[in-house]
Amino acid sequence: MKKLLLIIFCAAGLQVSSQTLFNIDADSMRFETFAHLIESNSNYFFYYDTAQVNKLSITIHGKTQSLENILSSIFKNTDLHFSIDDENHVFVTNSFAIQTTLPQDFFNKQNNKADTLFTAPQIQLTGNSTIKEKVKVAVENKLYEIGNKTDESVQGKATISGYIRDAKSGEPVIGASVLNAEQNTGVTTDQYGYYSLTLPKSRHILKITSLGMTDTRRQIAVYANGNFNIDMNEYIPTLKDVIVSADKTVNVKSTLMGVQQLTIKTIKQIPSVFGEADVLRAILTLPGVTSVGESSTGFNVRGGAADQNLILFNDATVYNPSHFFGFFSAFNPDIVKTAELYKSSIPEKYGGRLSSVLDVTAREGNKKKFEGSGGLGPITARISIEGPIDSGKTSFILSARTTYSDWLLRSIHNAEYGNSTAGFTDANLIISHEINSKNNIYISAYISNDNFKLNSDTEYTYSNRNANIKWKHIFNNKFSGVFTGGVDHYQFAIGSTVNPVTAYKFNFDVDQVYGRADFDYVINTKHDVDFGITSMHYKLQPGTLTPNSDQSLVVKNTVGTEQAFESAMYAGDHINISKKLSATIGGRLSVFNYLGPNTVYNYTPGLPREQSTIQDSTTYKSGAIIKTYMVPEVRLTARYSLTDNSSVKFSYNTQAQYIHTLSNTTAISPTDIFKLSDENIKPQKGDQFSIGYYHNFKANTIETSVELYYRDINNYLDYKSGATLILNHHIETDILNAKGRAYGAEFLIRKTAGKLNGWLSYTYSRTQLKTDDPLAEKPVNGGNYYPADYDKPNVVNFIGNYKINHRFSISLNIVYSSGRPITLPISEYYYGGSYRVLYSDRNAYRIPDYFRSDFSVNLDGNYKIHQFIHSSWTFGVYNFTSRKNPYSVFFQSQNGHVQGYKLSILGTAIPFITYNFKF
Amino acid sequence: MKRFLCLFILFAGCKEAYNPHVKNAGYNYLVVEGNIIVGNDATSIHLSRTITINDTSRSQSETNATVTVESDNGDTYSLENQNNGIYSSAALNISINKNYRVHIFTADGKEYASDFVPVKQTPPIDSVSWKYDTNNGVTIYANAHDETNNTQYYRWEFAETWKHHAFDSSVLIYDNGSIRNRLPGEQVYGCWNVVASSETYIASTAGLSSDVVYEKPLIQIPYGSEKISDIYSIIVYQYALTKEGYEFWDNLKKNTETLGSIFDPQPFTEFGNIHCITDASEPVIGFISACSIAQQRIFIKWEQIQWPLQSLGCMDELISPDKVKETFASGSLSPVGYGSNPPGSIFGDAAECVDCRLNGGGTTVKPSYMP
Repeated sequence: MKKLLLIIFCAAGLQVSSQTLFNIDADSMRFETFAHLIESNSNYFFYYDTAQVNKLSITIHGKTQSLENILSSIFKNTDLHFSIDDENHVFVTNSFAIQTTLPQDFFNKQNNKADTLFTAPQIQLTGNSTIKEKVKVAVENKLYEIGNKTDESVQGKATISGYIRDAKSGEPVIGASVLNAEQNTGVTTDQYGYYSLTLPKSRHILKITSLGMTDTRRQIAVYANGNFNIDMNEYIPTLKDVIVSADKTVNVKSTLMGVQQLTIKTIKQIPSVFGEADVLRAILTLPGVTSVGESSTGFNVRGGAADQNLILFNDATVYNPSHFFGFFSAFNPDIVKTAELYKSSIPEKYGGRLSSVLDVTAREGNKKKFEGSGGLGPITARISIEGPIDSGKTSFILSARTTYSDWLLRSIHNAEYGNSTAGFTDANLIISHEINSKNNIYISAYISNDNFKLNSDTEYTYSNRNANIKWKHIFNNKFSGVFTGGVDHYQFAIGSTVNPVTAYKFNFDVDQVYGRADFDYVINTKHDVDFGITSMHYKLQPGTLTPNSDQSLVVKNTVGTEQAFESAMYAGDHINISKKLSATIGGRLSVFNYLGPNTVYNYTPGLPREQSTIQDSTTYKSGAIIKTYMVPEVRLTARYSLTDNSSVKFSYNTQAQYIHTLSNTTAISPTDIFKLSDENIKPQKGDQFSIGYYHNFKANTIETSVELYYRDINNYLDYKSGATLILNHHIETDILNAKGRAYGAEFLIRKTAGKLNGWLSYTYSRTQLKTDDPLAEKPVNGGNYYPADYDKPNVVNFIGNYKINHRFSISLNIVYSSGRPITLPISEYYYGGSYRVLYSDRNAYRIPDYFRSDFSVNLDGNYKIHQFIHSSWTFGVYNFTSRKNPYSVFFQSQNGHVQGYKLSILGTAIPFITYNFKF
Repeated sequence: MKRFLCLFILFAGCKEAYNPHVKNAGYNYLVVEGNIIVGNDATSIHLSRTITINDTSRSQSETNATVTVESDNGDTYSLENQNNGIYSSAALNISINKNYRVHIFTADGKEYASDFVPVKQTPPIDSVSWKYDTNNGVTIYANAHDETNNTQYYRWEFAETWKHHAFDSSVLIYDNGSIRNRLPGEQVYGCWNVVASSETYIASTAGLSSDVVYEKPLIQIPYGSEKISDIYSIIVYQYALTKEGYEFWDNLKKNTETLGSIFDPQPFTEFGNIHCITDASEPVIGFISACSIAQQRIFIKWEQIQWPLQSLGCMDELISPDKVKETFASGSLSPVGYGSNPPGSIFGDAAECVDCRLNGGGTTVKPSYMP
């Protein structure tokens, strides 16, 4: 902590300002603080560039002296200079001191170069600029020297690295692109805002761009390896003019394909059912992402099943990413920073799921001041608090959300629904701590609880619990590493007490403990290598049925615990082959060990796996390896720039998945259980091939792309008709192996800047499955390809946001998609006192097409910076055309007759209003 | 509030009748329903054919078939063709220790047979109980147990009978141009309805420490229902099932009765344990079980619950003697009884207030088991 004692000795009546004496006692004080102290206790006024002084740490101990003396000692051994003019203005400059008086012969010589005040036009002041712009311009035009000019020869290359941070809050800027303008090479910052870039030793211009931030550039002269931190300003639309940002070229320049990044700002613009910004709902508007229906937050990426998505929240696996029948996602919008969906080229760092990685990153707390934010909606209330813990090195953010919805259900005076309850709570805590410039620690914790009971006595509860700690260590400018350790937990329970004799409780839980080390090594301008190892221990309790009352006759039934290790090592090289061509060549070797204790059934080879074909069983001791699978995975991408703003890309990926959701329901359900690969259930494997063309227009403010893909899925899990999934001690007897194929074309046009922004996408895609299990007695649809439940060939999404003025914007969201496939009856028959329907081929029909349009109006409070609470209102209408989009079509036998029904969820216009505040 | 219903409940408010157009490919599969009954009760097997969706002609019975019950050691019992698709026999003298099947030859020359199934002894019904509260009305439950723990899988069917009244107790009838007293067989004041169960009621005690079924809900009679406006009776039949039989009925229930939640599985048809021997690829629907039947009947009187009944809003009208003929001839009113002032006048009321069959249905003939 800084300690400071300031005594001013002011010689009364003295005209000469330099004779004001100061007694300062400072310990590791920042220059700004120092300047502010002097300013507030004297009539000195400082002019300086924050970027130039931000490395200064001032330590002075009790000596009464003049400002000149103090500054001289502070600036000793630095490149900084100062001068003080007659009016006590203190100018702090780099490299040379400002002349505060004109040279004596200034008015005589008109063009005396030797006496020009500046050797370079470092500060350009324009008449009507604001102070902030001046600073920005100053920073951007300043030449930063990295390394000592005289130290080494100007030959060869050097690596610079550092953090890119938000100038206002000190939070890291994730995914910012740092581009060497001339060479067309660049890197993006990692999730800690860290980057490392190798450049030839010479002068360069770095362009730094990031979504939601104002673009900036830095002039650097690189002489040796060094640190270079960059502050970016949030993109705040100034009140007078609209800045059209340029250089948003990431989509064209990056080698990554099929990656979509959404910032929380974009997510907030998308109207949602209850007005609360929702990550998963926003993800569903992206091309290539579909879901089976309105109330499902399970999503399907490029024809993959919902369990083939790896959902990470600050590196923790979230098993159930939805709340409240899927109307809310698990991510509190107040702390989400970005959500990134990898649907095509999945970086080698990630593995374990076939279809996609959804990487949701939370913000870090403000390191400079305490802040809070929150919101009130029709169903939920949320709040978050953040701030520094000490001296700007440590920050925290704590957020919580809860429903107050029971009153809504209770207020429905209907016997059928009056007994229903539903609610959830969740909380996050994130702590980040900077030990020193080379070491940072991040701690993240998440907990959520859900419960619901719908006009029956059966109560459902589920909970996610995650915690992890990460240590980022910078070995040197070229080499950095992140070490992560954490635990993830998911559980659900179903209970009923309505009948004392059959009162039961069913519990399921999964625990995983993991550790990983990820490294990044920038070899030179051509090679940037990442590599790492990861290991995860799974422990699944696949189901325990226990009595739930004293009279209950339910016999305790437990399916044996499952344990396994999933480990992997990976390496990838990002190669800049030429100015136009770059590629990432990566690989991953995953190893899965299914561990004892367990008893494995052995089935008669060549016969269908059924209880009757169980030959015997093998019992394994604790820790024994029952089965090992080893799968090499390939990750290849390449980009070829056709012009400055267009490119073609290619990617090929293979994936393996060892943990599977067992679910024979169409929608992902909170009572789906998970199963590890074992002796009888092979890992799912998939590969995807994709090519794309990217073209930006109008100074990169309009991005267009076309991506084509084809993928294969093997060992996909399908189920025998009438399969029992819960409390099944030999689940393999109810499982069929299937294979899948998916292909599609995704067209996207996105406008990223201007009053009107948003995107329009069209996707044509097909997803088909086929039972290819040679042991299957009754393959689904006779063993032919049939459409998967989420096969929706045509999907159009439009997301638009129009800023009418700075406080007022409107958003429109239009979704059209083909209806999902459904199984309809082909015939009727009379049985058991009623007519009933006969089903044949699975998914031979489709429900009617889906169309929905939502709009919202966002009204911000005033823009005065210094006010206690900044508030904003969001109101709008979900599904304003009131279209009753069918969720499903089904038949029921009632009173002896068959009746067809159409079930629509949210089949009416739903108005919403949400109040958000920040303090 | 309806909006919130739609929103939260996702069922009622937003469930609408809908009949998608489906191709009717003319499937004509054989459907076999029934049980081989051990003990004193009759065995009857119903043969029918699948029909096209929404076919108004409804059930198509298979009439000219030959049906036999066979044991695994060659005993054969013929069932008599009742010419309406039902093939039955009085009590079969079959053994509890053998396995039996149904063997069918249809008129088109095809041969079908069920799997051989073991005979299960159905334990008696301990009680048919009921509970009453104003929210749920009357709920009727079945209770049973098997001390030997051999039953484990249960199925129930039931038939309800209830008596209800017309508003007026009419003693007169307009007959052939004149008013006369009703004869004993012509009363239309009290009606009896008989309705058989049409849903699937099953329970398994396989996960319990003893073979006890406690309060298996069978039917709920909504508060204020006319079913209990005088006397109500239910007879419950209990059948023991094998595990396979239970699974068949469970799948039948799941795929034809309880679909429509947001977490529905893919529907499918469970065909059962009957096969076409002539053409193994031809699907046959139905599951044959062999068991004894246990049954129990209970009565509930309105006096036991005394819930309020809906009144029709009937009002007698006094018809003056000069208008009696034209009024009752036109059928706009039905005669109820004689008025006294003026003499010869007759009280009349709307037909549905007089004839119980017109409001609530049923027949005016009292079933023998009703008191």
